[in-house]
Amino acid sequence: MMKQNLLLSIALAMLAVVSAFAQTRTVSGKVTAADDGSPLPGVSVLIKGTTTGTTTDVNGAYRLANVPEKATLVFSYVGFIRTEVEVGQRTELDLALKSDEKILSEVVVTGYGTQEKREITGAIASVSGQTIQNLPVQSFDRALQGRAAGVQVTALSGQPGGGINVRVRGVGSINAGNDPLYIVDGVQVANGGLGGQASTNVLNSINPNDIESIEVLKDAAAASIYGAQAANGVVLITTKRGKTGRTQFEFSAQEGVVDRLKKLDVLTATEFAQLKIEGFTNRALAQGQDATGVNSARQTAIGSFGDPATVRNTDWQEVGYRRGRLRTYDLSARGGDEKTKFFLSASYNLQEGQVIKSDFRRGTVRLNVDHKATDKLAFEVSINLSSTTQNGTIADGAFINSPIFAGPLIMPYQPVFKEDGSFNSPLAGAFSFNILESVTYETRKSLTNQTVSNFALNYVISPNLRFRSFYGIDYAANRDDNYRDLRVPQFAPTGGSATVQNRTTLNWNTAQTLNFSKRIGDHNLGGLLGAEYREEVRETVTATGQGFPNGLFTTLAAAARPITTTGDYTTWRIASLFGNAKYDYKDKYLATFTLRYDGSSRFGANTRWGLFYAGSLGWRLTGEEFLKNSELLDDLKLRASYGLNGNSQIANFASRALFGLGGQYLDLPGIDPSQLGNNNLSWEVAKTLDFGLDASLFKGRLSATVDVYQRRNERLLLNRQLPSDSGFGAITENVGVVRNRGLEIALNTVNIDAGGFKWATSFNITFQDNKILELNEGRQNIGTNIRVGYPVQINWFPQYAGVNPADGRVMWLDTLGNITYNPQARDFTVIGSPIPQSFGGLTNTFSYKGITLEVFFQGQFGGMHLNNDAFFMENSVSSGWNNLRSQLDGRWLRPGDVSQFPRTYEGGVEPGSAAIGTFSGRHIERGDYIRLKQVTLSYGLPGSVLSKIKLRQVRFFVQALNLLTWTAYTGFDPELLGSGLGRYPQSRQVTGGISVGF
Amino acid sequence: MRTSFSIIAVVTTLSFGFSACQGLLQTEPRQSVSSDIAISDITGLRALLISCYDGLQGAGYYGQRMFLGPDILADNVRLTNTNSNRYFQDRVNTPGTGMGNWGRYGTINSVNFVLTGIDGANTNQTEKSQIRGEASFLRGLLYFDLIRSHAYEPGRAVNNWTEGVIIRDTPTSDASQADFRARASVQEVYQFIERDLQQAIQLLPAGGNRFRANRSAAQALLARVYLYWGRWAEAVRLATDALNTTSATLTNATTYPSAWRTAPNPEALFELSYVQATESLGSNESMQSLTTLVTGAWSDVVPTNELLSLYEPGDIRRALYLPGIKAGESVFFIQKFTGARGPWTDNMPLIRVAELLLIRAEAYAESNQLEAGLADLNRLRASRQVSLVTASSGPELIDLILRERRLELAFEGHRWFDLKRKGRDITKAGLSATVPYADFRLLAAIPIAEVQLNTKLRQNPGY
Repeated sequence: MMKQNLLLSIALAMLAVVSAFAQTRTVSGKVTAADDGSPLPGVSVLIKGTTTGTTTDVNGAYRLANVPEKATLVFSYVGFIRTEVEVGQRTELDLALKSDEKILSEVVVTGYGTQEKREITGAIASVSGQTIQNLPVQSFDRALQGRAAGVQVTALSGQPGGGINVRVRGVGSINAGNDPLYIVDGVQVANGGLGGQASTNVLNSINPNDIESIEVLKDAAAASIYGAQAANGVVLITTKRGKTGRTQFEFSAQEGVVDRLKKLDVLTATEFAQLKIEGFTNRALAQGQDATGVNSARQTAIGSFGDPATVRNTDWQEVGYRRGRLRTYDLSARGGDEKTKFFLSASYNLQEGQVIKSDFRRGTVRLNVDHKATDKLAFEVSINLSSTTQNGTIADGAFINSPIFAGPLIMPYQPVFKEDGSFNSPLAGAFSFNILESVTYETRKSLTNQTVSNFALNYVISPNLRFRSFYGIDYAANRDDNYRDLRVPQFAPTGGSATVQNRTTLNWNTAQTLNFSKRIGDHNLGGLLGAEYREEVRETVTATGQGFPNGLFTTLAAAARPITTTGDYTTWRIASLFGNAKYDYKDKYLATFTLRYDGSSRFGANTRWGLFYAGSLGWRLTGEEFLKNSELLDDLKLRASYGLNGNSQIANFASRALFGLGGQYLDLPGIDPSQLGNNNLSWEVAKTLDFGLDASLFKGRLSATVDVYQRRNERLLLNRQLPSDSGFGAITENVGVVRNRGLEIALNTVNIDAGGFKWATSFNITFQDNKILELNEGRQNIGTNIRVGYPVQINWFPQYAGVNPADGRVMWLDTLGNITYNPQARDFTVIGSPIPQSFGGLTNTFSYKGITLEVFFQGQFGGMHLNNDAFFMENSVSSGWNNLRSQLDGRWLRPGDVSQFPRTYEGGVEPGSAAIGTFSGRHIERGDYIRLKQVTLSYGLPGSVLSKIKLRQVRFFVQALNLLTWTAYTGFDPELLGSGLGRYPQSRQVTGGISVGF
Repeated sequence: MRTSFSIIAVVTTLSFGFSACQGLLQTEPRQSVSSDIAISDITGLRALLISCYDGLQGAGYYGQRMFLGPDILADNVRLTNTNSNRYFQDRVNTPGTGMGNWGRYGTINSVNFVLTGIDGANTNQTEKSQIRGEASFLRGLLYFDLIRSHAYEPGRAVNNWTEGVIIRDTPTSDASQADFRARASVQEVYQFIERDLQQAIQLLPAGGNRFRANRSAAQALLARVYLYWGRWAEAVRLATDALNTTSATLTNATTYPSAWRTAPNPEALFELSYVQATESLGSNESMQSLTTLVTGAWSDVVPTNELLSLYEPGDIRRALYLPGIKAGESVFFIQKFTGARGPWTDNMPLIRVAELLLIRAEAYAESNQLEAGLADLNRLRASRQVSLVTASSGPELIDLILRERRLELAFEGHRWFDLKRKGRDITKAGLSATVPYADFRLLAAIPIAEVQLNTKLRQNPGY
């Protein structure tokens, strides 16, 4: 970005030369950086009040003729404080420019370029790389949480390196994807996780410490340069690049522990047996059995689940968890000279999960080089290599062999080991796997080697016109290994089974762009014209073999029987033309217009190409005379934008009529009709209207950005339900409208800055509202969960009416509001939505003499979640699995009891009643939470000590993630997405480390 | 000069790139083919027909549910005290459970593609007849399962409810063909099935592969359809035809025990084959997992005491029940599905010689030919090493035959349908709640989403 501004300066300087006037004297000198004394080339030197000036050469030297007497020189350079110096009688004038962190951060990366923040007329949230430096996270998207207004970040899984759900300005699509477009240094990264053996994240290949800045393009004005891919917002990641000057090394290391956040309070074996006996007795009595029958039911329960007096308890939740280790090392070097600059980094990251055997290991190497071949021709190369190994665990679903899901549910009277020391398996009940045994013997490994790299050539055609040719590649090779050992009884019949899956993802894009800028008097013009092409190819090969001699041989080669080999191939392509035009008058009135024309292979033959556009206006009030000298306001800008973006995240062949592979019979392969065609299938359109305000007050002590927006997502890809007797369930058509509205507020304040003590606050909050406005053919609902007038996600269940005090049976409400014991489909109703109504983050940073304390809270409010775990864990001990202690303490016992939970009843179905475990409002809980997400305490050695030990910088730090949570949600974690059934929970991480610069 | 040259070069590049874009956007899937190729080429039609057989194999159909559901909805089998909750609601006939088979239409659509495409296919007449015959048999089977699940038998309407199911005999190849249709009457659907099976009988050669549709199997299935229909003479005739043409034989005391581990089962006229590597239903959904006591199995579904008590001493079928302890409970496990084709894999015999004898016996009894009926019944009983029986009246003989069907066809999915087609109450063996014949639960519900979508589609009463 520096370079481009440099070019702009050159352009400006040349214009200035044209209008030079009569000479009086010549001044010369050298400009250096105050930090390290290195020469600063390209600094603009202007005579104040004129357009006469020059720029410094490669050695920082300048020579300016025609300087009148008593002139003042203005030195300005991006990233440095603009400095004015009176020349007086001097002919030699050297200057050390001070760098300005604040100004640096105000150059914002935009689509295909950069822009100064004050010129921006779109809604962009920026997060500096500094914010996420040295956080113990595997991918930077996790660190975005709570730091950017309008960006909702939710963990999909607590698996180290696991998936993340990022939603920019709400959920706009029902059936197409809702993920933003990620662009790393211009490379459009392929969506989705890579491995199949653990929750993975495609962004794991980027070391968060390599990141210079993250920009989230939120509104149409900012994002529409990406056209058909921009409807869900765009996340631009810029990595660090070299700096002219002495090479600076940076080393950091940290070590820490990973613990679980929560353990559920489940019944002990004694309590469990007691409740089982009660349930069996209650059932026998309800069936009208006599005393003998009742006693025999009692004995059956004791026989199956143990005698409460003697049974021994096993805490199966302890079996699957541990304290994990966390370790990262990071080394980087950056430097360069006038012609060539580089940034080099290497990192190693290890995190063991709190669930046994699950972990994450990654090594990365990055080399970013910029080289200026001639005054006109420059190259950029960014090479990033990463290798990630994850050991997964069975998670993220109701899997009976998952340590997370099964741990609290395995019946507690069963020990882990038999008396002879061997594993006790299979277990009784629905949870028949001994989780320690299956995890011990099973292999679930995912190895991903990935590169996200690019090459670009920049050519200065003329001072006003630059050409850039860009090539980016995102290539990933992934191998999954799954081995199911024959020593696990459930796998014994197959003799053990091994599956190997190889995936490759090749995703590349190229963009050719022309950049134009010119200032004519008070009129500043800029423009961009470009063409882009992107292709993605994914291939998968899977092989399975069964029959292993013993558990020592786990590779496919040792399998006695090859079972299956299958493959999968898919691809898509997009080609585009785009351009934008920018204009501003006196830096006061700003306007931008963007066009993009996209064609995607995913869409129907009739609708392959589409046009996207956006326009935006800005007014810098502080540029007006009446506010120019305001003491209060440093900067105030109003913005408005409107535009159209597309969402093309649908299946690659969604528009085609297809016959797909349809099983086999007698070893012959079958095909069957898999999809009806639709030649009119097209992208979804997002129409976004945005009004914004950027303000900076009290000499930068308070800065604020406020945006209100409305986004209408139209032509939604919806499945029109077909009568299933036609052989098809649905056809996808472009119909339907969803509206997202919101208010985003971001505030940065410096509350106290006195006596070496500084307290700064950064706060953001987003209020959002999501509503379906239209569905196909005027329908009010599709299925049960998509309903006009409600958010895209709702909870659709019958209302819970508590327990009948007379007999302890569960009651629900029917459609008329009356008590029913058998809720029917018609009694279902909307009980809230899991989409939060507001979310935000609050960071307070306190610093005093090298000690810095950062405290970061993050929270989410207004969502209603189905606690699906509770559906299993609060079913009155009526099934073959353990329950929460609430089922003992809160149950109905005798007539007159007003209790939360029904009486125990083996089997869970009282005569004439629906099952106790029927999904209902009982399992819907408020998902509000506030989490103390991060606390970092660090200490930097003072300069006096540093100069003695000859180091540039030394910092010690301790930090904790997910330290405390306030919530009413009773499940594992209110933050996890959706119902959270069997989800790998998030962890608490506590680490300590050191970072050294030299 | 140089500048303008560069501009020209760039603009040329851009526009050239753009004009080539139409070609650049061509992509083709590799796991799928377009529909016109699939149904015009014989290799496509062969593969389509294979997918129709594949459509029978799932756990929701003949892989498991069609074998266990009808027995557990009635009185033949029950769940162990500790169980995986599978079939729990079916055991107590919770409204909404039952033998819903609306999901069969997907396979019916594939069959319709085959039947529509076969005439124009690039193959000889013999293969055309073979494929048309097999497809007709499969469509008859699918529609018969649909109608007996969702409608009353002809002539047995409760409250004059004679709605059948929707008939589709042409494929859906674009969305406009997925129109809304009303249910045809029970009579119309039975006639449609009859035509399909008659066509299959006519087109398929004698003998043939018992793992695929064959002439005898079509005759046997049509005999079963006539039995449900109350057309006794035709039932007798078709059962006789099937017995005469098939290579399947009735087993005896020596061959019966191993029959269930032999492929095909010597008694099977049509048996669904399963290849362990690719088609096993696994430790979660296979019959072996649900009904036997082996390591890793659910072992949930066991015979009711009532069923076990009906077997006479010496009955070789009783020896198929092995005692075992499930979570402290002493129960018996059926040995019909024991992983004979590999772990968690068994073939599923859909029509057996024993059933044909019972069909013919019942049809004789219903038409007051007691002697002929008794002869068939006793021929079966003799082969199972149990005493011969006599009956003095049609109804008495019919009761004996129904009891025999219970013993012979246990765990094969006949019990519910037998009680229903005879207009009898569904008894529950050990559970107090009998389901009276007139109860709405005798008919499975049409999926609610279908009824809401298609206003021409009438839901069964009571749902």
